[in-house]
Amino acid sequence: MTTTVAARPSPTAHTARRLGAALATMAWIFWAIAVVAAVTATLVAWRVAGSVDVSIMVYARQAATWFPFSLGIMLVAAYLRVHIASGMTRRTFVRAALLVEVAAGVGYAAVFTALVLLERAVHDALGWGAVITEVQLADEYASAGAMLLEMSVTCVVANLSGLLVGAVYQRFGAWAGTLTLPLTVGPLVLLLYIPGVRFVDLPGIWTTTAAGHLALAVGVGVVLAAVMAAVFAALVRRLQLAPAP
Amino acid sequence: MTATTTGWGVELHGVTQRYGDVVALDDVALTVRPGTITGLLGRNGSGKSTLGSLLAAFRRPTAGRVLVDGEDPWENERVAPGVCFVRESGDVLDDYSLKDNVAYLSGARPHFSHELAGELLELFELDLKRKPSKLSRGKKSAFGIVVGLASRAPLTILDEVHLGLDAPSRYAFYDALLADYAEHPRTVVLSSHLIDEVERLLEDVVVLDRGRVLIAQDAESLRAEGVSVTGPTAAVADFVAGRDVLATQRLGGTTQTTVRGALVEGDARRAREAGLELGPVPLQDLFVHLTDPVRTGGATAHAQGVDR
Amino acid sequence: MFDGRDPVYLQIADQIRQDVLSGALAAEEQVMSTTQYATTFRINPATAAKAFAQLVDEGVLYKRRGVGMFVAPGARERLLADARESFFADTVDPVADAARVLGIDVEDVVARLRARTAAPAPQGEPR
Repeated sequence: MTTTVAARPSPTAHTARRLGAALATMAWIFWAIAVVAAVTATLVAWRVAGSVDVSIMVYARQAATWFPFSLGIMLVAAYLRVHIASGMTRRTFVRAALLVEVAAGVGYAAVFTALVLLERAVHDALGWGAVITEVQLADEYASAGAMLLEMSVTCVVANLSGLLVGAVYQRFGAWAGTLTLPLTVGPLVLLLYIPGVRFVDLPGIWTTTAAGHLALAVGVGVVLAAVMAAVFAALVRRLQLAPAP
Repeated sequence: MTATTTGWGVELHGVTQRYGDVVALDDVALTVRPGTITGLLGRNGSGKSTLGSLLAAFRRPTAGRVLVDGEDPWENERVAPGVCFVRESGDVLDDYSLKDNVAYLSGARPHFSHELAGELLELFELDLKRKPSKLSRGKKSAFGIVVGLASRAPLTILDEVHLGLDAPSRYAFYDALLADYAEHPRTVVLSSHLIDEVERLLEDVVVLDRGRVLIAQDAESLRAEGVSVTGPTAAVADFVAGRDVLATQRLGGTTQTTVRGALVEGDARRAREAGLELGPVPLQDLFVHLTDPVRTGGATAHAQGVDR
Repeated sequence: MFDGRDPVYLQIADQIRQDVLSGALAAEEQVMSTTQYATTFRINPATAAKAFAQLVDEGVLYKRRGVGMFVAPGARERLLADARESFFADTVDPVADAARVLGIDVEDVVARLRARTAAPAPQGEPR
């Protein structure tokens, strides 16, 4: 009955582009504000204290996780219904959303790392220090790669967390969504605060090197991300749209 | 280059849909012939929208099988792009301009026609720069029509898309529908309360009543089944004896009775001789009579205001 | 248009037969396509197609593939013959029935018929 279908972008690619564009717009705004805030804070501190020996930019770390997290929640609420109504499957939405959110996570981490390093260079030129007082593994002696890696994992987990929360709300409603927050947001909180506290050293079993800490944090983060992605996929794949809203 | 497709057929076998305690569809068996404009009629809460939801794989039925072009539409990569379900609450990107919405659709719908979309946007005077959330009810419906027609999906389901449109706009919609359907045949399931207006657009008719299929036949034979008999009360009573009476009205010594059942050879002459006038019964009236709760023998205790 | 008692497709077929009889549609002339019927009268194209199918069966129309529907040669003559046959049953009998109901004497009816026939024919009637 049907003959071949027109050449068009694959549903996954099409959706990924749409979701990506939406996130990118928000990202521009976020980082623009973040940079302005950091610069302003630096100038004020300079006025007040005469020199700025800490990294101000690094305080964007918290926001750079919670903001995309909230976008992730919004993504499901805003796009899933239209996606299905436009003749695409939940499967392609899941793929596109995961793709975009992982990319966004790495993207945010890259921008974050670049800005922190930029700030470090500026401080250097001005003869200031750039001590990192944020609760994270990568301190001012860590390599750029380490910072990037740690932040990538954190941001990706944040994004997937957002997707997961969004999916739970869509599937089970507001009550269930709120009640399961410890499960859906817990992992992110874990990653944000615990690595920086430095794990307890267990002689002979746990390593105490920075690389060891990083490897552990990244390992845990990756596992969490994988589990969240799987749960997200499972929730969305079976989601039935409510009758006319 | 797009290749043309003809319409997709639909089959429902023993389909039941429950929302908690409420039964929206009750053991429905139904066929929609491919390539036809089929009317889906029913009172509020009869299950029309639920049916559309199942065909578009918004939901899975509680029981039974739904087949679109011979396959289960649920998460079906081949079938999904070919089913377009437009409801009055438009499922569009509310916070993007109409222009962005059209771009989104053209990437999603394999047979999308930019040309037709442009024509219809102009016809309904829709501003590409505006967002659906900022449109009036009528304009929202109009955009829904643009989506439904320009997508050129082999199975297009239009659920009360006329709401908020004034009469001239509605007729413009019917004209656009017919013109594009004639040139690009597909299956259109058209749900509307304004049966008088859409009656002649329909090839087949399905009437749902409280989740069950009341009627499923072609429009012509259904129309032919309604006869109004007008004349002196006694003569009318005599003529309609033994027939399926739908309604009766009396004014003085004159009675008009509506009956269901095709007329046979000698009936027209008999009626003439008895001084009776036989007339057609508009589908709207047939529909009202046939779905009258008193007649169908069911309670009207129904969730109010919820169009399932 | 097409609001009568009969199904729409019958009305369309009747209309075309009338046009052929009256000469409005000549032999080998093309009739409107189903699409044109659909968009002009706001009806489903299948309805027009049904009318055409019936007329093709009767030999009033024929189809030229890829072009459209045309009036068959000799259609008018065929229709005239059919119309003459059913004239008495379909047209004259109802007159008699109506006259009886109204209490009009049949002789008055005959006289009227004679008078009318003697008068010049109105325009458009077949000879």
